[in-house]
Amino acid sequence: MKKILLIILPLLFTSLFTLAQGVIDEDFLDVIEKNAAPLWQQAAPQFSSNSTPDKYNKESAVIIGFKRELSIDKKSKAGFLTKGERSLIFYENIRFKIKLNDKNAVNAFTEFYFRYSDKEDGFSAKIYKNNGVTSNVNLSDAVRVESSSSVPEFFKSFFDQEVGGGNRYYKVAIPDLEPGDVLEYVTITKSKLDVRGNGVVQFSPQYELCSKKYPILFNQIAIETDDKSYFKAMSKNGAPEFKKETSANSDFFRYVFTDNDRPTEKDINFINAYRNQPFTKFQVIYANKEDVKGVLIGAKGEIKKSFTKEELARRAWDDYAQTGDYYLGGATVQAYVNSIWNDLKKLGAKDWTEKEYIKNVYYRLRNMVIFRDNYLSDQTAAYLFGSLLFQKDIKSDLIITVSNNIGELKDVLFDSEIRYVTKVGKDYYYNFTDHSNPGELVESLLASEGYIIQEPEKKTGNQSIQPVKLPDAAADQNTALYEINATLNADLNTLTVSRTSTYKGISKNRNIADAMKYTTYMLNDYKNYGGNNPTDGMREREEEEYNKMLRTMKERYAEDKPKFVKQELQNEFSKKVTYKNFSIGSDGRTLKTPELKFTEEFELQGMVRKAGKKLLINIPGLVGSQLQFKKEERTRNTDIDVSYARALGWKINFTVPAGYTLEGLPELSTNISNEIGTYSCTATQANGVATIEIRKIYKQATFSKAKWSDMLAFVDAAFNTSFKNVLLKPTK
Amino acid sequence: MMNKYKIGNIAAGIFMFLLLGIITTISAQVSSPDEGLAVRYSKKYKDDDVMLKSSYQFFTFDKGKNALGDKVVVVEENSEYEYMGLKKYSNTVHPEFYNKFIELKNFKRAMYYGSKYITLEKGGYDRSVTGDDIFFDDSRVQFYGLRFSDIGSAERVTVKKIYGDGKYLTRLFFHTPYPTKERIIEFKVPDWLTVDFKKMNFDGYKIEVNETKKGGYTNYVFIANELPAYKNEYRRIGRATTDPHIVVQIKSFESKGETLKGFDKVDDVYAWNNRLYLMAGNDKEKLKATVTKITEGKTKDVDKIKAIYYWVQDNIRYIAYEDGYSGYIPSSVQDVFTKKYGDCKGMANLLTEMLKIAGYNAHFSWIGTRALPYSQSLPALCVNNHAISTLYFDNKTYFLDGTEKYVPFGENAFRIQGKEVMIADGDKFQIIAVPTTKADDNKIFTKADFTLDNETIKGKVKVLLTGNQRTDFHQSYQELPSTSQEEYLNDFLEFGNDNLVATNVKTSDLKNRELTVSIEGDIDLTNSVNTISGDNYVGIDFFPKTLDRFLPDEKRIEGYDLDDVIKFEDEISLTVPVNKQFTDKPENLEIKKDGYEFKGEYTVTGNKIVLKKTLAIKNSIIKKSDFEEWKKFLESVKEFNKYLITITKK
Repeated sequence: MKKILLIILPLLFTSLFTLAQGVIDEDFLDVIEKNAAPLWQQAAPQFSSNSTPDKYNKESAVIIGFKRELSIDKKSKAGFLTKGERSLIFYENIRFKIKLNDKNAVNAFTEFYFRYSDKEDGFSAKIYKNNGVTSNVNLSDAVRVESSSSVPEFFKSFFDQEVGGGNRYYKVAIPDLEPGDVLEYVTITKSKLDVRGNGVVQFSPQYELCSKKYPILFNQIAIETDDKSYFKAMSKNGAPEFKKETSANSDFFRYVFTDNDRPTEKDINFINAYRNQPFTKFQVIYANKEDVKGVLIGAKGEIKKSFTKEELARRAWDDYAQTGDYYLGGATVQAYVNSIWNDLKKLGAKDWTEKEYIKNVYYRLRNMVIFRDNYLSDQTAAYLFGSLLFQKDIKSDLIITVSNNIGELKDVLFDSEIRYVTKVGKDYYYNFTDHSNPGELVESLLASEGYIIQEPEKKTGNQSIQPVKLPDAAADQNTALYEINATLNADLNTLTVSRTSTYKGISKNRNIADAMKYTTYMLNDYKNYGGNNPTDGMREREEEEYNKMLRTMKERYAEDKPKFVKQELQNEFSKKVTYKNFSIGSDGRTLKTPELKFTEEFELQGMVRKAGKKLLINIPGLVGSQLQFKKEERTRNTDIDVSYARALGWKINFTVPAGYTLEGLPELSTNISNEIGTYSCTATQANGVATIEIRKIYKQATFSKAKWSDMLAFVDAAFNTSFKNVLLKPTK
Repeated sequence: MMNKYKIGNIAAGIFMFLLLGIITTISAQVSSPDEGLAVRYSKKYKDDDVMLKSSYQFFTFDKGKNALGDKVVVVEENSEYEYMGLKKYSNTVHPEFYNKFIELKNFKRAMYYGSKYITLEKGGYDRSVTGDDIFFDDSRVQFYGLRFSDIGSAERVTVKKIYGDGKYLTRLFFHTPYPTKERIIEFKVPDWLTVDFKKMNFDGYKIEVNETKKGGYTNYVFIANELPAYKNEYRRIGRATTDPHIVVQIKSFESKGETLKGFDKVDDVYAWNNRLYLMAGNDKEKLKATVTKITEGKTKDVDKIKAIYYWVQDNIRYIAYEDGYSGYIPSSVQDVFTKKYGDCKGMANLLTEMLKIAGYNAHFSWIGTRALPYSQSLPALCVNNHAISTLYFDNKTYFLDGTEKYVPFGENAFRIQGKEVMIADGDKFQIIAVPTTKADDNKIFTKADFTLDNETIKGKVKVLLTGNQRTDFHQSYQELPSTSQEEYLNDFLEFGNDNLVATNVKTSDLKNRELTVSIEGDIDLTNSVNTISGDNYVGIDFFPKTLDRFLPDEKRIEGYDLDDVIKFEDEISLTVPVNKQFTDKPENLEIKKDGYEFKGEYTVTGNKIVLKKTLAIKNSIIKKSDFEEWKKFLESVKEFNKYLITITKK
């Protein structure tokens, strides 16, 4: 069974609609409003009022109601010229009502987008004025939107968000709109998805955060399916659950999510929306047969809310087992395995030790990733790696796990939430990036819960499932250390700075792409797996051309790298920077050089102020801009997520210029340490050099919101210190 | 699958080479029409990837009819652009713009291979180029991506366009986005046509102009050589002010023994503009009740006028719908009034008619914003790009712009100041310039009084905004979500400085656009007090950070248009305990230049120090020739700002 990638469908449509943007055709004006009329007739008490609670009077707008109904029906019409059972029909009804309290909201809703791509599509909108007058929005001035990608998602049908461009959208300017008005629209769309030959169609998982840009008084999503589709949903962090209701159509199942009176979310920093904020997630899966393998589904008519470890393991193995048949570019994954194995054999793989072989396979696959536009999925990466190990009879375990952004394995609802890791002996091997090394940890899988799964027994179907916890990384494993040497230029205005940055662990992962940008790391990458020089076997003219390309690349990068480094530094310091040099000491891309270490040399302005003949230098400011919590953030509603524990350190050596003495070091001394973290600053002076050492440690990845005051103390200390100065006094 | 950092064209090219060596080997054989020239240009123009070896535009003229049925001059353009790469694996895009007045008939791309060009494509990618600020228009582009595998690799683009009405062939610039070896613009003018080619900004450029007569035609050839690329730069002076270009003026033509008018004099432009204006088809009746309601209870004429002007500003949203002639014909007043939206023409039309209904002498008017530096005496359509309403009232002339929200009656947006207005008056018209303002009229005045007490500094700050600064404030503040307005006010008092915190913020009546905007609040400066060895060091001079962006670097090609005249006036005091004193106060600084000036002085009286500082930008244009003085000026101001006041114990 093959996965259906819905994304290919737009290609079928694009050639049909290459018309210029044009004014809407008058012929369908009657049709589109007529089609929408039944929606206005539906009983909808939540939409009956135009008033909003007083508590929201200061909000820019308030959504009075937002109701989305999606009905998915497998059509089985068998006509004279048509085959039966060929399409899924999507009927979508949307009703939306909003009160616009200020000009910003009026401007935000000054244009409406709607679809008219099928003769059964319908749309109409009304404006309710403060004086009680209601008027219909005239669609005669609507214009065609040339590219549906420019249609805000908010106005797109569920189907079009899934399948992409192709259907015709129009936009209309809403007339006579002003603050205080209430705007309401209804839309009905009919879409058809050809599912001939497809056993299973998994529609994209939907994540619905309860909080929106504006407070919302009533938010309802209703899904109706016939008996060919399955439904699953899970609500988290206090969000309401989907409930099963009786459908008006006896052959259909109906699932409804309703959320009432939800304010906006105010917290800004250190937020992990899906771990901290109320949301629901759901998915519809169509299957044309009863026995569906390799798909996480429940029973028909049931709201599947979670999966047992047995269900997850079975589904994951079934899917993993098919990976070799999937296509990766122009060839199957298995063809890649065979091709790479042949290449490795030519390089002497049969004679390599097990340790060497594992390392070389990893780097060979990383090399493949370097020259791809996209990363491999975890599943494909694990399959390639495990299969290549298998070629040399090296046993590996397959681990299924889940991103710590999702939660625990019990929170897995969709296939796409299952992550794959390979374990060989005690070592864990994660998916490849351009710069990853064997065994390096991945931020989203730190301390994640997992299962080692085996192939089910053929006779009994029993499957071995062993729990495992993936390694975590403490703050001292994720380090960023900066050694900074600074001197004051003769102009008494500019600092000359040399900064050597050393990163380890997750901190390295976060910084390595920028560090290696516009460097030629990819050219010698083949050496990491003992590969051959690309010029081996080239004819003279080919080699000449190849070398010409390399020269051009090096010349271009020699121009681009300084510009890039300068821009990055200017963004970091918000000050004018003159680039001097960039050099890499350790690229962090091999097991022999696991640290990322590089040095930037530059001149920095705006760090010196004067007080008569004395100079005040913002040496602590060399740590770069620090996070500031403004007034509105100083109370906290949600738990704190800083992504990963880490330790940062700065050692700043400032050479006291001749003819000056330096004061102000004791005043820099700071030490805050609490459950959240540590911030300390110490300063000393010896042999004409002032040394300021700063440590900043986030002790864990997550904290309770009750610890927010600790976070404020810690972050405030770092922020406030970054503005302090040292004083240079002339000796004469 | 996640997207990843792309390794770049070159690295990808290397990979393709390794994968498909033979293909790139073939491309390596691609020859160049002039590799030596490309190498020379690559050394001369190191920041450019692509050059134009030649650019040739050839225009011929014919007779035809426009969409209104008028006999007009039709222009055919045949152009050829020969590009060469200045770097290996460079690429660019050649766009050709068109709309309902300009038909793109032919568009081909060819690659130089062997010793000749081989046509690769005969139709570019087609897209709408409607800007974000336009709801709908007919502007479109076709474009080709051009790729150059090596230095000297060449591609050629040929274009045929038809201007259905010669009026809409307005300007031709010489500079292109590429270093250009040779740029030729040629017009083959038949004897039945009288046309003028206005040479704009030719001084300082070597542009050869040849004129030859033969067989009933006169050929005008303009040749420019060795042109650097035109670059977009932050706040660059508009290219119409600085760059050489030709304004095409079709004056008249003969058809079947009859001489038909083009744009010979400004009267002809007015006749055309006015004709389209009158096509709006206004029905004023629908406005009367609202005009009565808006002006109800107002006894003074000026109050009635303001009520109408502000009603249009506040109630008509800017939504532009420009399709063919509808880009020039205003929407009817009843249409704009009913929909409560329109573009500049629609708003000017509505405002004019509402004022007329109320009994005032208002007139629809055309104007070019400051981006178009042309006088109304130039008879061409490129002179105007905006519409306003002109009001004669109480022996004065007022220019009312419905698109400029929150501008008080009697004030004008900077973008139209100094520009000539063509004012409709039936068969006649008038041309009057919009008055200019001075830096003093557009002021940001900051008054702050701080007190040092036990190493904390707190105080009150008051900011007053006048003129365009007040209008700019309203245009930002009033359009923000109500939930963000408080933060915006705080930021205003914090001078964009992360280290200041404003509280207890109060304002003047922000519903009244005529009042000076006043924002005041308490500021905590404590975090910026440096206490070292018992002494305090404090800065009370808040340099306008935005000026940093106007410090030109060595690569800057053209001057700045600051798009405003403005005066910053600061009066900031700091009072310290009686047992403390000020030492090392900065030297006073005064710089006076023609376009800008600065004065800053600290005065100590007892335990109080007062900084009085003014910084005035009197001329919005900073020419490149003035860069050295301008840089010195900004550096001096920054140097003055760098001083911290020293406070010691007595």
